[in-house]
Amino acid sequence: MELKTLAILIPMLPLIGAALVGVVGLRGLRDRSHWLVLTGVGLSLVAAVWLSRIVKGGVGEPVVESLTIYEWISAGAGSWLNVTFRVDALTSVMLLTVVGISFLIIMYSVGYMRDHHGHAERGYERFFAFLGIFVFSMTTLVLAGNFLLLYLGWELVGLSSYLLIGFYYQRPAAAAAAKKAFLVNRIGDFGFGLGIFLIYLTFRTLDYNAVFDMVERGVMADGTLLETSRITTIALLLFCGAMGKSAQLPLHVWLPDAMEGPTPVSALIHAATMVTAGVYMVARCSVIFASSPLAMTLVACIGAATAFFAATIALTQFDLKRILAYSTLSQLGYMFLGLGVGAFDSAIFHLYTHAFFKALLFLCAGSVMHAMGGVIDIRRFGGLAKGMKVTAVTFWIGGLALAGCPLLAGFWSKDEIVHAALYSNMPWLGAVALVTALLTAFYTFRMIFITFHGPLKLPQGVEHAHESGRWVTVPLMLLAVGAALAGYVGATWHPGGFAGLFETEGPIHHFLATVFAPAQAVLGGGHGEVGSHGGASYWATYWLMYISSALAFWGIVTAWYFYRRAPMVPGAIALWAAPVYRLLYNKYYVDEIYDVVFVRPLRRFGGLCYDADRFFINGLLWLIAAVPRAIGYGLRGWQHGAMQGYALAMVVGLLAIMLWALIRSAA
Amino acid sequence: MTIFATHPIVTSLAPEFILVLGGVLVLLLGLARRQWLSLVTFAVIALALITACRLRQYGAESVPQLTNDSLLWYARLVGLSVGLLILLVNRHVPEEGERGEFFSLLLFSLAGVLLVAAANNLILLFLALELVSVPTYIMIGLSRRDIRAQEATGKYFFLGAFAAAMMLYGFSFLYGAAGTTVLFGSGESLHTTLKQGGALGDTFVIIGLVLTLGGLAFKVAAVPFHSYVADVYQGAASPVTGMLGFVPKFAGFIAIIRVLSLCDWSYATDATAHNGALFWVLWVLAAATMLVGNTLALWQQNVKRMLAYSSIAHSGYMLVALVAGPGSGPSPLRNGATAVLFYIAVYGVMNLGAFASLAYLRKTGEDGEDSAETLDDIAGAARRYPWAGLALAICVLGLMGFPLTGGFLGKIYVFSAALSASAGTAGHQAMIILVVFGVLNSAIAAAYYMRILASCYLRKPAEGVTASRCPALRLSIACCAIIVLATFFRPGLLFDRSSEASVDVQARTSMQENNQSSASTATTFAGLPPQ
Amino acid sequence: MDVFEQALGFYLFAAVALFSAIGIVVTKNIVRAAVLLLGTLGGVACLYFVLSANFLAAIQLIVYAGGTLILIVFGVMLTSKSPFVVFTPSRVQIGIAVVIAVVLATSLCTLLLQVDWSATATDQPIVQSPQVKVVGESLLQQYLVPFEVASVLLLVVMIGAAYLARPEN
Repeated sequence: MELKTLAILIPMLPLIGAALVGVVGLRGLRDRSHWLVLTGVGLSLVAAVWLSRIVKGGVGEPVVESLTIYEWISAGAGSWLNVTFRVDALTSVMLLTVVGISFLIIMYSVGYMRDHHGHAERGYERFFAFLGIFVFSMTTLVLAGNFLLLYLGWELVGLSSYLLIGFYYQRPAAAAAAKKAFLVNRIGDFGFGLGIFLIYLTFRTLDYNAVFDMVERGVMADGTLLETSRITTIALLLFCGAMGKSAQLPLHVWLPDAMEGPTPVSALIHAATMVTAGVYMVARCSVIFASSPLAMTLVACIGAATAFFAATIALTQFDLKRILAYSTLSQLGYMFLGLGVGAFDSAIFHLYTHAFFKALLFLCAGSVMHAMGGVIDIRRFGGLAKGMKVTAVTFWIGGLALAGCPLLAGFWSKDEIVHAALYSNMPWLGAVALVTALLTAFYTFRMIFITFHGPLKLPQGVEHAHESGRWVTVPLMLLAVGAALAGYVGATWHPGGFAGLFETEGPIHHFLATVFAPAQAVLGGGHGEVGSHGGASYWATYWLMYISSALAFWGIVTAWYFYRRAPMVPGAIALWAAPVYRLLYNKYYVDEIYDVVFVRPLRRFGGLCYDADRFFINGLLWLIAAVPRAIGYGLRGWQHGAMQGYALAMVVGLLAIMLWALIRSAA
Repeated sequence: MTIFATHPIVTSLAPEFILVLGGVLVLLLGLARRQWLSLVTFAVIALALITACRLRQYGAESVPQLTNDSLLWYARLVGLSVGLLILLVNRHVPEEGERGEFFSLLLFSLAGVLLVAAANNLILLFLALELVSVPTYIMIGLSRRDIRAQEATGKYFFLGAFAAAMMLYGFSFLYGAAGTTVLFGSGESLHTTLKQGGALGDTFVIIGLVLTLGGLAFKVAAVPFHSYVADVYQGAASPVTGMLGFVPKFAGFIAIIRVLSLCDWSYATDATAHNGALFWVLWVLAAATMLVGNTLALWQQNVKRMLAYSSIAHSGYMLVALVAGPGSGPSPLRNGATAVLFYIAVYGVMNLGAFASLAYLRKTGEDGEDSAETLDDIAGAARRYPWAGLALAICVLGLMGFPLTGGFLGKIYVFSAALSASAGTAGHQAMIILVVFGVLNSAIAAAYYMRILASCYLRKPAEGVTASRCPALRLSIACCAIIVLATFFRPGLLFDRSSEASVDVQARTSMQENNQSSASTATTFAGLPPQ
Repeated sequence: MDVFEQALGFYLFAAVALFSAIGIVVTKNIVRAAVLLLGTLGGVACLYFVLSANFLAAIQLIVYAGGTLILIVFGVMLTSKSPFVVFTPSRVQIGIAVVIAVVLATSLCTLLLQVDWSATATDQPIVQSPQVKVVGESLLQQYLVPFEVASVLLLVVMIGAAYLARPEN
């Protein structure tokens, strides 16, 4: 099949599935609705794999292709509303990640969105239709070949996220979380929209190829020199969008609350795929960011800060899904750190591996939650490993991958980012990243030891911990395989390498190299050697990998000691450092600060505006609406239905017109 | 085809001949067989359409009394294509015994539309315009056994005859002024007479043009010749009403373009020379038509009446572009004629789709089954019949001028053409005011269109409303909705044709320029320097 | 046509027209008046024929006898309850009619007296006018399309008439 056909099929198949569910789901299919979407996304996955094979091509460079899917001609005004796709290595990596994870999570949802008797939840078909729409939106975002389509996809995933967070809209918390996510994202998207607008003003086009080409050459549309301040403004505005969508400081507040949505949604949208859209966007615009040192520094700093800050919060939380949410924030921070220090391919690599293990962890958490009758507080259960073997084992694999245990997926990608940061001109960021790695290992295994080990403890009303059905466990196992092995696209068998076996340069780096070549060229040689450790000695090349392995084990062992051996220690520490503990437990009071600084003043201002609106604007509107109605009322007298009157009106009108015309022409 | 090829008149009017002969055939067949009539009618229109395409391809000899320009081709293409849709919508309207008459009248009326575009002679133009209208009078009466349909027929007939008389009187004045009935041509023709300096200031010419435009304003339902619209649209069965929104309007606007081309729209540029008498007449007509149509529609509870008034308003929007004239270049963004030709085609389909959706919803009242009419009848229709509701929503959004529909582009084209075609002329300031007024009117219009959508989507489903079983009707509704969307996403398909159609309209103007070759050409209306 | 025949024809048709006109005024039955009007208009048309003004004669028949008269008859039939209504004009009506008649007759007579008849009279025999031929030819050549369209229009109107006359259920 042709590349173009495939590129069209990938977003369209899930959309068709969702549309069909929307049409016949409620009436005919009901709790069999998942088949349509599952088939659509499955076929889409096949198409994505096929597309990646074509992109990879033979032995040479990967294919880079711009496809014009549809051109909207608006006579004279130029054609600006075009649907163009850009298919290259970055696209295909993203597509495989997004569609692949989506497929598994949709499969999982079939089992998850039911009660213990296998009856579908309320809104079952709605859920699957939304998931289909989400996959359509996300693939459109990834495939987009111009900024307008990117923005469209960007907003569509935001909409899907809003709809799915608020899926249980009867619950006030879910409705509020959906609203919060939507509003916080608006702030970011406002900047994003301005950035795109500025791109259009500067380059007179929104097409990726044309824009990136001009940035690379350092010119504007009219051929004049592109100033650094201009490109910095563009980059920072675009980054605003990324901060909102990928929940970076200070716009991170929505993501933990978004856990109110169904767990598959948290796994798919708020961990594996949608939140990484910001990372993807920055990587896609790597040339723009690379042209602005200030923007790069800011991206790196915000990334590192978010990584550390979120990890510290995760240490103290008790809500399983929230711990994972903060962990997601932290890992996204890593990705931005990687982007900011110029290791674009490492960031995308981490995005890819993170999608597997974080989706896995969420789905396991969902499985636990399902078994515990909706309870998610880790203080209320424990020792579940015996009853839920598959969940426990897969959670362990995911946890090890997240903690950066050597040879699992997360290890390879995280290490690359840390390495790039340490060797960048901001090495202290690398240090922060290393500390964060320790924290990560600790909070991950704190969660694991409390939940799965020790004496059996069940919340009230739950008789025994039972394993979930096959619809749930099969995706868990598949994702666990991914979490274990996904990293090997970034590492190759190499006797004499790390641990005597591996070289940290894998196919994915070669694959992505063409995409990021322009950005690396702009940055100069400084960041070019990411992943390749040159001809230095063994220890100079691999010392970091041993350090981070050691940190991971240290974190795990500490967690084991704290929560299995000496359970009094964490409490003692919490007491001893009570202010710090409270600060972390309350998530640095960010929500409260925002409430005082922004929300309340705005609400008061809003109240003021409302009053003004009610009395002044409403009155004005009423007047505006009343005038045409009044005119219409007056004219109604004319329409009395008698034909003679109509004829008379015609004659009088005609005579008046003629008289007037004659007088005017005579004058 | 070879046997007909001998006579140039037969060749150049082949589609019209096919329609008329087909009409007679259907009429006669109607006496005997009744099963296949709509199919035969469909075949006749399709055949005419194919013939028109082939004619366009191979060209036809030019015949005196007939024009053979791109506007005729556009009229044939759009008129016959929409004609097919109209037939589909009207498939089940006539009663068993009256199908022959009904379908043959439809064919005659379509032939009339094409002849209006083909006429290069006042006499033929008049006869063609009547051939458009007279069948519609009768079709309204045939469409329903209702007393209101009979009333509508009567009103439409008498007022139509009155307007026709007005127009004919105007024609006689024009004939008196020029001494010929030929419209265009290098020899003796109205065009050559009227483009002479000062001819537009001539009293007889002004009387003639005002009377003519008055009669044509009746056909397109412009104020103050609009009063019949609501009663007639309401009285006719919904599918026939859908036809009324297109057939007479399309013919009327083609005729107006022809008549205004006679004086090369020079009133608009030469506004000062003759104190812009005609310019201001059209200006006021456009403004009043938009205002009256929209404000009266606000008060309606009956959807058919509402759409009837909206149909008046739409004529107003089109008049806005016509006041400005063809401007420069064929693009609908700059050329009023192109914009109008685009708009009328899209409007015809949107309107037909809306009425077809109404016809699809059947309500059973005291006097038998009938199509839904009031806002109460269509309440909650979208919940019970999601597809019909969606089609209605698409068509109504199109009428509103909402993005993603062809109606949006139509409005953009009309208003932008009005601005850029008048740029640099004496009437530009006035045109800006008119366009602003038009945009305000579009905003007012949204209020009543939203009421249709709100009733359709948000209210509880009405009792006793069922759906029609006619497959042709379903097909046509789907086609209308798709066309309304397609004209947005692939506007080129239509505006390439309409741009092409206005090329010949413009060519006449530039021909005049070359002939004059004087300094005054700088102010004439295509005389804008090419950018 | 020689002079004698022409004179004979003129007087004959003039008499028909004149006496019919008198009859219209005299009779009280409105239908009779209408029929007599046909006589007057027909007589005038025949006068045109005698004067070889064939086209004018045809138009006279089509417009007045065919159009106006039919309209009057329809008007009478549609407005009065019975076609045999006796027509009794009031004094005022008679007065107005007399005034109009006198004014019209006076102006026509004045016109007649003003014309210098000797200047227009010729001794040459009247040749057959080609008007009808020209009209006919142009109808079937130059104006063929309008002519045909008119016939289609008439067909449509016939359908309309049939529709009006259809039985009501």
